[in-house]
Amino acid sequence: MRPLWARFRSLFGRHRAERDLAQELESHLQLHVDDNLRAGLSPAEARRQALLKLGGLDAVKETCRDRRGFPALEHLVRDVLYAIRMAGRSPAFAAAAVLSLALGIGANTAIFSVTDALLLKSLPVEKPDQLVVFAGWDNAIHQWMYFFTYREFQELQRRTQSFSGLASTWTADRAGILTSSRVDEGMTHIGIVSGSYFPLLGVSPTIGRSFADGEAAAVISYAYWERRFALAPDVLGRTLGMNGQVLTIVGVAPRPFSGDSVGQPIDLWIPAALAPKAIARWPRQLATNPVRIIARLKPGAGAKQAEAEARTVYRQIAREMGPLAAESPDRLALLPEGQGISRPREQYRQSLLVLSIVAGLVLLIACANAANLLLTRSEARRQEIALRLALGAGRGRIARQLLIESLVLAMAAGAAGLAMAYCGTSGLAQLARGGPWAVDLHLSPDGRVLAYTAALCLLTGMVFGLSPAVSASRVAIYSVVKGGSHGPGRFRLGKLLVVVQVALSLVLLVAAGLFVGTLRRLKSQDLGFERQHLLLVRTAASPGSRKGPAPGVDIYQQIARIPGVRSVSASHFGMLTLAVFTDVTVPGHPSDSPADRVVASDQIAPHYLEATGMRLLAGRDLTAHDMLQPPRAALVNQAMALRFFGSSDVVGRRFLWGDEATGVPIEIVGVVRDAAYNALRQPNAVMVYFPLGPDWQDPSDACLVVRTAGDAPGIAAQIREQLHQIAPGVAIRSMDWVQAAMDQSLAIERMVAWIAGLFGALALVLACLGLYGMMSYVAARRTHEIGIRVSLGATPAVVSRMVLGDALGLGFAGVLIGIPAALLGSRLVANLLFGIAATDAPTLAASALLLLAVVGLAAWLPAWRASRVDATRALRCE
Amino acid sequence: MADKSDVWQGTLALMVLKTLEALGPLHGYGIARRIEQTSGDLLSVNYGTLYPALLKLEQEGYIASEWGVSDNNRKAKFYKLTRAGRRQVEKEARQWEQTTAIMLRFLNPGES
Repeated sequence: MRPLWARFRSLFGRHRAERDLAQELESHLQLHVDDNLRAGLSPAEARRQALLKLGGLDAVKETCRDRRGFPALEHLVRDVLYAIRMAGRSPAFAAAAVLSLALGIGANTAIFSVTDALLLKSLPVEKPDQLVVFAGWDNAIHQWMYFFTYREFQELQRRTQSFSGLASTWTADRAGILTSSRVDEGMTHIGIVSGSYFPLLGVSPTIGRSFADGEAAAVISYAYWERRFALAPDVLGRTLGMNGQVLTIVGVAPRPFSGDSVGQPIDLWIPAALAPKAIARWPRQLATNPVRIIARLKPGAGAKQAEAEARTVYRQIAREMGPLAAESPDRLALLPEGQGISRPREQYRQSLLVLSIVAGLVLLIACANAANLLLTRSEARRQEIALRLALGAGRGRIARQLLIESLVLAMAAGAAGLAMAYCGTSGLAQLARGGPWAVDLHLSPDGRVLAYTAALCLLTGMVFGLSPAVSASRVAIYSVVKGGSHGPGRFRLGKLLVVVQVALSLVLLVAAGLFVGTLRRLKSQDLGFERQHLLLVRTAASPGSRKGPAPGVDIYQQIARIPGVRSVSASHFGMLTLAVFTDVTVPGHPSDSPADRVVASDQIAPHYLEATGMRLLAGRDLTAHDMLQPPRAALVNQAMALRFFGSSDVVGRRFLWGDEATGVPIEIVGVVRDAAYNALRQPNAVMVYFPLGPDWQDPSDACLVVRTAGDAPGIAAQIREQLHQIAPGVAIRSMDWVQAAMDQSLAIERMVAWIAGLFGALALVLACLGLYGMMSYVAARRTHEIGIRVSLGATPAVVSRMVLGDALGLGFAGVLIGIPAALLGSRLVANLLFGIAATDAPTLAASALLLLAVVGLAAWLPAWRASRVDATRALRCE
Repeated sequence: MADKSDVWQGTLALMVLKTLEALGPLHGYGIARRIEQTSGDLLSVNYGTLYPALLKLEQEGYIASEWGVSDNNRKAKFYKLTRAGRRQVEKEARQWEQTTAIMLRFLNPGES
């Protein structure tokens, strides 16, 4: 330890130490000379003997120097400083290399920070790897389902031994929360959790405490505290009014914790036992309330063994409770919960993966570009390198120096890339935020992102620096000193790099073409309804009052009176939201699996087809008369008719709403055209429209659809006003123009298309630059040869054709490699596409042509320059 | 030159320490001369090799240095043992004695 510290200390005061040593050696010599003089030697001989005995002043000094400081480190520092000086000497080269690498690194860092936040990070809780979530495999829809009933949760909590604790959690979005006598009209995301939730996760409130089961209390999130209470320190003890129930705020969750649902932050948590009272339209019986069950494995308890126990216990419970059990999951499992659940994550996983790959390709292209620049430059530095070799520098030392130069460039690019990523991620978050589920991520370049970027820089520097460094250190001294020209194989590596760049660019261009095409087709497809001037008004019952409009008031007529409104209707769920499925049984239709009987459904008020612009193909629309009776009539879409009856001619046919034993008989009174009702990607999902029911005049918890004459800006406000007057107890959850909402629901597709397009363009520019640099250099080196050709009678056209032909040859080679690569790659993204095949020939052809055109363009200037070579001057310059 | 062995790196340090223990503060030239004399001119110190060894011992904290004036009025850098250095002399001397004792037994198996 001590010698190390001494070495470290001696890094400073270096000059003093040097001077000190010189003086010491000088005094040594003096003493020796004195002795020698005393022994009778002549002064000159005395000094000579003393020097001889000391054995070379400089050698001694050098040995001592190595003892001080850290020689290896200092050499490194010297190399780095030298590299920076070299970069400064050719700023254009340095700028080009740094810029192209920065673009690549920035792209990767930006994508990584989103991927990390959404896919990789663990929840900010204690020992996240011990957490599991209960899941049941649902055979009907072939998915893991995470919901159980509260009663099942309680029983599991009581009877299992393998866990140090269980907690229940669920979320609900409600508007109209009363805070400090002010009604909050926006949506609030409510976590409905058991009292064990916070202790189980090991999350202790920043201030206050968490609540016990059944306590009329709430814990709010840090963000909610900030937003609604301006971080007021006396927030504890204040109350929240929810659906007439008063809850006391007892704690504030720590800042990073926003619930177990990544990307969907929770605003406040309430005890599950309070949910039936505090959440409007919630199952009255606590026992049947939906819950997700999370648990913490006892330290050392095996997950397999815990799962086996949970299965046994669950089977018992299901047997005892009978019908109270949630639809008995066919297979119970414990899945890891350490990262929390995330619907956005499932949605974005593949897109992010694809974007990561795309970003990786961009970086590869940038590396190829930088390597090419480096190669051309090391050509120009052959003289210098040969000189250093001739002066005795080792080839390893030269290679090391060149590698350090490229690492320095990579680090500079990393810093610039980080800055770019910082701007880029906020843009990405913006793009992601508008998605089908609000994604709210805290994207800030944290330690993980920085480490990722640093690793990327090192790797990049190695990748693009290694081959030029090795090839440069192989310079043959004699050939340079001789000044001879180079053999034909000299540019092989450079040309290979250009071909790789072109091939990778083609892959990116094809990807961009496919994603942009997908977005365009999704936007322009025939939806089956009229998207223009259609307003969706989603409502909820306000706290306290649950009154609808006064009896006898027709809210539809009232709203229709507003100038500019053409027609009004309503449905229970509305369009462009998650599909709600229901079971149907069609007599005579063989249903092999339960999944065969599941259809999407909605309940609609009269004139719904007219308001939405859906087309009736046969039969009649549902009328007010249909609403008032128990459900008897329904509309089906074409897909439903074809799937269950095999023909569109199904008016008058019947099916059961539910299963064979308890289902309600329904008569099909009309057939409507298929529509992309719930998801733009499913324009022909099987769909049934039932009547909304007897209280169809009550506009609470429904989706009103209003067709207007135009997007008059004031009309939404007028509708809001009117609704408040007719039904003061109704809160408006959201008002969306369908066109805008559709654009929003395409957020992922838009993000992917944008980024892929951007990266494709980037790749094109990089490839273009790389080729231009390469061709200019090659043409310059061939000046002598071109001079000979010109003097032998070659015309400028022939010369420029020769250079262009060279470039296009490289381009063609790249395209030939790129096409199979693109076909292979597009298979990975096939299920992200819509309305366009992964092997879409026009996209492929257009990309290849665009690329070749750009190649030609990049080679045009060098070709033109070559064609103007003056034969006499070219020949004289050798 | 054949009858004079080169000074072995490891033993040089011990010789320096022992010299300083015996004679007190001494400059580099003095240490070199003393080692040469003590070894009966058998060991010919290449004086230059002494200085890296002194630097190393100083870095390890066994000796400390200070500029002073020599007997014949020359400015010189004087080295002296530190407390850690004294301990180190004892330790190394003991180790050295053990080693030599063992070597002796190998070289003269008949005696003792």
